[in-house]
Amino acid sequence: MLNIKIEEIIINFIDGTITSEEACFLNKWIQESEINKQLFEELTHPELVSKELQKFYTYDEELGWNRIETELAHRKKIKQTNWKYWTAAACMLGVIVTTVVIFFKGNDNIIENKVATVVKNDVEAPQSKRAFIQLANGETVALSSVEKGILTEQGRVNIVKNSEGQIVYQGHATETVFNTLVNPRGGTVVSLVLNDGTRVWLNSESSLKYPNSFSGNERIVEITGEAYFEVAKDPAKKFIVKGNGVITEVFGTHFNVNTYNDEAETKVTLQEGSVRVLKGASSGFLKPGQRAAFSNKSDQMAIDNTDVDKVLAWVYGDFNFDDETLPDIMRQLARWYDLEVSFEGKPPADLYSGIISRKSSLVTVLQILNAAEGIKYSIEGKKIKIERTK
Amino acid sequence: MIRNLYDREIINGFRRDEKQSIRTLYLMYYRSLCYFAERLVDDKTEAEDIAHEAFLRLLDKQRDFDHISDIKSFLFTVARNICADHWRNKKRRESGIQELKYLDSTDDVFAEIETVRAKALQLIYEEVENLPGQCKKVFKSVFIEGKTTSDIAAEMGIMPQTVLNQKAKALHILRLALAQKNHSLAAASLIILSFFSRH
Repeated sequence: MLNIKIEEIIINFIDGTITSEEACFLNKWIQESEINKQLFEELTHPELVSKELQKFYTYDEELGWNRIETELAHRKKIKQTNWKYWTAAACMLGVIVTTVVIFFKGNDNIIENKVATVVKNDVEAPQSKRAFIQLANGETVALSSVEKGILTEQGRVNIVKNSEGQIVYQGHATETVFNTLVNPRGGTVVSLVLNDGTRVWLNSESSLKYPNSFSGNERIVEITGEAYFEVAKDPAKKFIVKGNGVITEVFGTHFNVNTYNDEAETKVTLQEGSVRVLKGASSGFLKPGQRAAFSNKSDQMAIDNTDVDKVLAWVYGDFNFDDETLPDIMRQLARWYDLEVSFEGKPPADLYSGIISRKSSLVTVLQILNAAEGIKYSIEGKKIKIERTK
Repeated sequence: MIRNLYDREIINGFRRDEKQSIRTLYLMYYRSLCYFAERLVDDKTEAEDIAHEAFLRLLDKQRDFDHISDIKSFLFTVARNICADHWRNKKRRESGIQELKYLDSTDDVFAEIETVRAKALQLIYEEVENLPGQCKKVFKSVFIEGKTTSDIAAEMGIMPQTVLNQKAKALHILRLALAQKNHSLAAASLIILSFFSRH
């Protein structure tokens, strides 16, 4: 019997990947009844599918989620109450409860041991936010310290973490002070909404220096590492990003800036709108889909067309390698997994490609890239040593 | 492969009661459950209540699932049962009304067919939702809202050519994403591809 559902077979049929066994099954299913036949026809009719899919978007999923959240909060309370009840019961049923606890403890150990063997020589993807904000007065605020709500106050500006984990600046400042959002190596991507509504995503081993409120007729921020901006439109106030000596001027647009010091170039990639980039004597305008690459050693600049989705893969939670050498790839992995990478002898010149979730463990990434062929690697703690075998 | 790893993350998070995973699953299935229930009970508000209830029952069994596909099956089965209860109660209240759409054995066939329809549409919906930001925006404007290229370009402040590029990119990614997933999902892109050839 086929271990596949009819809706999947119908979709295989449209796709042309249907096997002869599945086709036979599908045929029988269609012959079975008029109603089956009708559904098959409707699902293979593009306009009808489009019309039905439109209905999906008439349901308010945020409203529905609020109801779920309310219910979750309610349940948490009940659980805590139950816990008190059980503690009381446990005192009375001491012996039985002890047995149960030992039993569960035993089980837990088995599970833990298993996990330990699997991950012994692997590095897990960053799980938590390591990022923190350095306030103008030298104080630091860890972002993981609050689930949701006000992180800190600065004059009349509140720094708030919203339900999506994003950091938001609310209010108007009486005086401008500069804060720095720091995301160390091995930290997950963090995002921030600036006082003007501009959204910024910050990759690991990166930082963003910004004022708590934009005054004057320019909005200036400084970065190290890599950041993606969705700038709020304000024709009267230019938005300026400075990093590695490269200046990017914009009016309201989406773009990525990569200023990692261990890369050969500082790169500005434009997704939407228009920006002007300059460094020393070189300057130019970018169109959407274009990238400006500045040499980190001189003012030399080159503009070319690029795959924006590949550049922004980190914002979407992926690594996207496209014919890249192992040293190039390892530099990116090192920042994410907080690794120390060393090559024994000359690094291999082979090129690798693949799109891999940043939530994968290190070994998984290497396996997917098939990098294990022709090379040997050993992992000890956060150190990875790579050797050629051919 | 990539897809499976991601699924693993969701399941683990769900078992650990992490809100992010609960929300991911909710976003994955809520609208398809609403759609399914509305097909069965013919009442939008009622349908949303049923989808809500189905999801709450999933939360009662947080540790019982090892695969996302099991969660999907569970949610649709539960929603279907709630719809059946809904009709039974309604019949009890207003016995004599003949317009009952779903009840008893003949209506089982109807419920079964609607399950297949909603599950197939859910697969396509999920892939559309997984498109990256700008792609998704362009794609939905064209495909769901039926807007023209020049309207979208004006609204988003991008060039018409960029809209066309993003449309092409969306199709490309959809096919890629689908290929990485179960091959059974790949067809969704073809359905969507044919939408564009007609637009």
